[in-house]
Amino acid sequence: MQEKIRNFCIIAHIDHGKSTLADRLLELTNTVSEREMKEQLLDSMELERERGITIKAKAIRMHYEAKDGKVYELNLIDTPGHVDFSYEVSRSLAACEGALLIVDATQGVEAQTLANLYQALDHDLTIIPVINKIDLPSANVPEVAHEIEDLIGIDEVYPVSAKTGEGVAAVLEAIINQVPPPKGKSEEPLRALIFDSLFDSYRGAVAYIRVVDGSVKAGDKITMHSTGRSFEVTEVGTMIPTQVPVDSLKTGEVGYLVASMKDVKDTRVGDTIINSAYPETEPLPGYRKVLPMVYCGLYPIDNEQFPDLRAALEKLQLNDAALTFEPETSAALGFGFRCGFLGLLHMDIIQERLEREYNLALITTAPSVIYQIITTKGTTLEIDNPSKLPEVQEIEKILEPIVKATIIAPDNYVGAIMQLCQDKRGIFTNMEYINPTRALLTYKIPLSEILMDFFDRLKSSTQGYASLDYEILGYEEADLIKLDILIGGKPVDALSAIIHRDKAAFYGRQLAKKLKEVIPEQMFEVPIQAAIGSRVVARETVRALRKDVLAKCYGGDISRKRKLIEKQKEGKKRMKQIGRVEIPQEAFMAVLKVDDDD
Amino acid sequence: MMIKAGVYVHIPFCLQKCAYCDFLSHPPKLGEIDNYLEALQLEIKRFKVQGSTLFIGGGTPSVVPPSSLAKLIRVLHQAYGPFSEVTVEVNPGTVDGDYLKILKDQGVNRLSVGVQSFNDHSLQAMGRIHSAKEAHDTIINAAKVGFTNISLDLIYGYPGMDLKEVEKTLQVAVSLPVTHISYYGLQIEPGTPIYGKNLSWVTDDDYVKMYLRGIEILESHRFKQYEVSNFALEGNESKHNLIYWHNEEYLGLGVGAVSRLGHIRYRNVDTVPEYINSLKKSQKIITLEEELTPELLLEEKIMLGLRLREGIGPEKLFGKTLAELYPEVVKELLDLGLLEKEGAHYRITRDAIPIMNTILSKFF
Repeated sequence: MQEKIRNFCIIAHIDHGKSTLADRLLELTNTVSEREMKEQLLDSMELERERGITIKAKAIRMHYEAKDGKVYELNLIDTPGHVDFSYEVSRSLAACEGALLIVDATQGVEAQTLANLYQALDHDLTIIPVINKIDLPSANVPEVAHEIEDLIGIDEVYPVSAKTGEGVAAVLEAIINQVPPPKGKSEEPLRALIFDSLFDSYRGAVAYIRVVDGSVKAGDKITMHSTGRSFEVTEVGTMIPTQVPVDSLKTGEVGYLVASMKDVKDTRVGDTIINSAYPETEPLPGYRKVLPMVYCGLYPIDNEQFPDLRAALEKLQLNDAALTFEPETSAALGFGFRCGFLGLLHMDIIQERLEREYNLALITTAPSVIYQIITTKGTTLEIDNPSKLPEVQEIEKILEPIVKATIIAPDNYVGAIMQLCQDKRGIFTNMEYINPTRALLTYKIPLSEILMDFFDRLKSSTQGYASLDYEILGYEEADLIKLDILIGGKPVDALSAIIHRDKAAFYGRQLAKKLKEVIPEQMFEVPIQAAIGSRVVARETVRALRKDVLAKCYGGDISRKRKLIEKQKEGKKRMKQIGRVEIPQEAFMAVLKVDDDD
Repeated sequence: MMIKAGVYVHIPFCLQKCAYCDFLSHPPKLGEIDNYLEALQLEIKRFKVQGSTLFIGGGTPSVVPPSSLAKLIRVLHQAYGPFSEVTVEVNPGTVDGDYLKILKDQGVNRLSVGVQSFNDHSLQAMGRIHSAKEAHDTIINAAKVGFTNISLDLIYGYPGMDLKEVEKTLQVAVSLPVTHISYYGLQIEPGTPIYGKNLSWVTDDDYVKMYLRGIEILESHRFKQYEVSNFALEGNESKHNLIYWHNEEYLGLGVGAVSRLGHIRYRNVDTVPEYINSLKKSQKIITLEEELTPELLLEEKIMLGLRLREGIGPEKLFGKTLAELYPEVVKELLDLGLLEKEGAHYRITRDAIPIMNTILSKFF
């Protein structure tokens, strides 16, 4: 049986057609009828659909009768397509023997595809290049095929149109013929890789697994290798594409496992499930605990929503082991939570879900990385919030996370990209051409600089043609200082930033200017100051409101005018009061919109 | 006991619509005035109140022929009189000495003259039908026929105006035989011809300068400010308008008119045909009823009370001072010099009047 299993995934850039191709595969194998098919089945969460990205990986089993007359079991393991989720990607890849590399025939290879492709090669996956969108008039199959050949030395490509279905049948045959069946030893004790999980409100956490060795069935006692926690399996099954229970999952198979686990912390992605009877079983390689890279404060505008925010975060966390939060207090914003995310997209998604699905009105503080502080006493502190930075005299040095950024863009934008990377304290490491007109640049850049509008600026300076990927390299020392913002003479902790000394004064001026634009005129003059320690480096003033009086108010006007003032009052409820100054939500995000060049 | 109320009558007609006007008024169609006045008499019969003051406003009441207007005033006297103050709004260019004499004979004891400016350029820009000279003459004529309580309306902050022009207009106003001056800042309302137009708008800074300078000039001529936009020689404050600001009861008659009787506020239908037809068919003419809950009433008391220079005291606030009701807000406003205190009365400081809405919103 093991001989007839093929486990594969799809590697593609956003919008290159991963979901559409998956849909065609499901149709061709009669896994889902066309009528049942919600368009793009794999991206089920509403937000995923809107953003055109797959956030959570899932797996689907198909049965396919190949040209050799045999029926094969194909497992398509979906992979998230964003840099924030690169660890999940690596675990999904580890569960496969092959990968379809989809490249848009009109766009060519992008940075993200490349990063995932290299990961797939590291896992020794068989790569089947698929050139999609050949139905488009601007498709250039020979050039893209050439790009792929240059990259991985494979000249056999499969041109398809996932939209029309053209060429897709050949891809299925290629999977059968080229992807090797899973190795694994069926007689050994159980070793299963968790490559994803989700929370089901009836059954608790559900683990998506690839059985590497042995087998697992309902009633088995299992242990999570990383935590040592044991459970009794209540159900195993496969997704075709809905969950269908089976007697057991055998060596090489992909499926789900339910074992009355309370939340997804018990089903950590990358962990190895072993049989409790064989506690000495070696774990599969590659597990690591997923750690947040980006932190920000989330505060309810209305302090009374604090318990609601906590409840909402707890619910989201049931299904998202990478999300962390702990209560924090800001002098400016009151009670809120310091939340940790895998990256900016992850942060955006959580924020949006809190506002949309839980009806919370939130203030988000600017995202921060984790800084390592070596104190003069020789101790190391990790801080995720600029306001927690110790006094200058207690700091020996500050280290910040550095990433390796990979950027692919048409060569006429190379100058603009180099300028941008330089502005962002990037250090050039390499440049090569993946074809005569497209360059691949690698830079070492502080992660904090990536968080500050790097994506937006990269897009605008390359008219959207550049793609970016990054991976964490480690920590390096940098000349960083804390910049404080005072509004109405009062320091606003939520606006403090840790920033490079050379950029601090300029940044302070820009931020003060931006704040002046977003803070409305009040009943009095409001000074805005940016300061490094006690040295004020920038000052702006929001002048006092001049006029808003209603000249006339007679019998017929009273209701209307009362309502006008009520409305004005309502508007103020969306603002945070700091001292006597009312500050709108946008002010706390202004930090992100400081342009380096104006 | 009968309800005691100020009575307002709305005349929704004028010869020409002004460029800034958002009141209910339009040039009358043939026969429209007579039909409207008949309908008004039907509405008058619907209420039994003891009138305290009477104010006939518009529009331009003086576009109604003098005999018809006289008849209306007689009907009002019979229904709700006697009144301690009877005001009629007149516009220069629509009344002569004879007209004014007829009003005087009907017991009208106060005239409100829509002057707006003594600068012909500005009058033209506003779309007024009269000149500065005609405005001047109307007031002299009114004094000649024996009016001793004359008010005039002025507008500042109109596009194209500067501080000098406004000062000049005020100097003319205070030199005339008037006892009351309403000095209004232009309010730009959506739907009016000037709204959204590319005009030489007066900046907020200049607007405030014109306002504060206006107060200075008027007060130096003994026109004491008693409300945001109203100034009077001692004892000549508008009794009728004080009813609104003191949050007392009033009966509004006519199209679009608003009444506040007991704890309910009503608004009449706002088109003339609808108003006339409904009354003829003995149908309801009220389109809007609003119950003034204690919370709303308190907001309104503060909103209106703080418009007055006498300020707001415990007698308006269920026996409590403003500071007792809103300790933090009052402290902040006092600290910022936006509010001042005299005994148990609080009022907005003069320089802070231009940002009154923001101040009021603190109490809401």
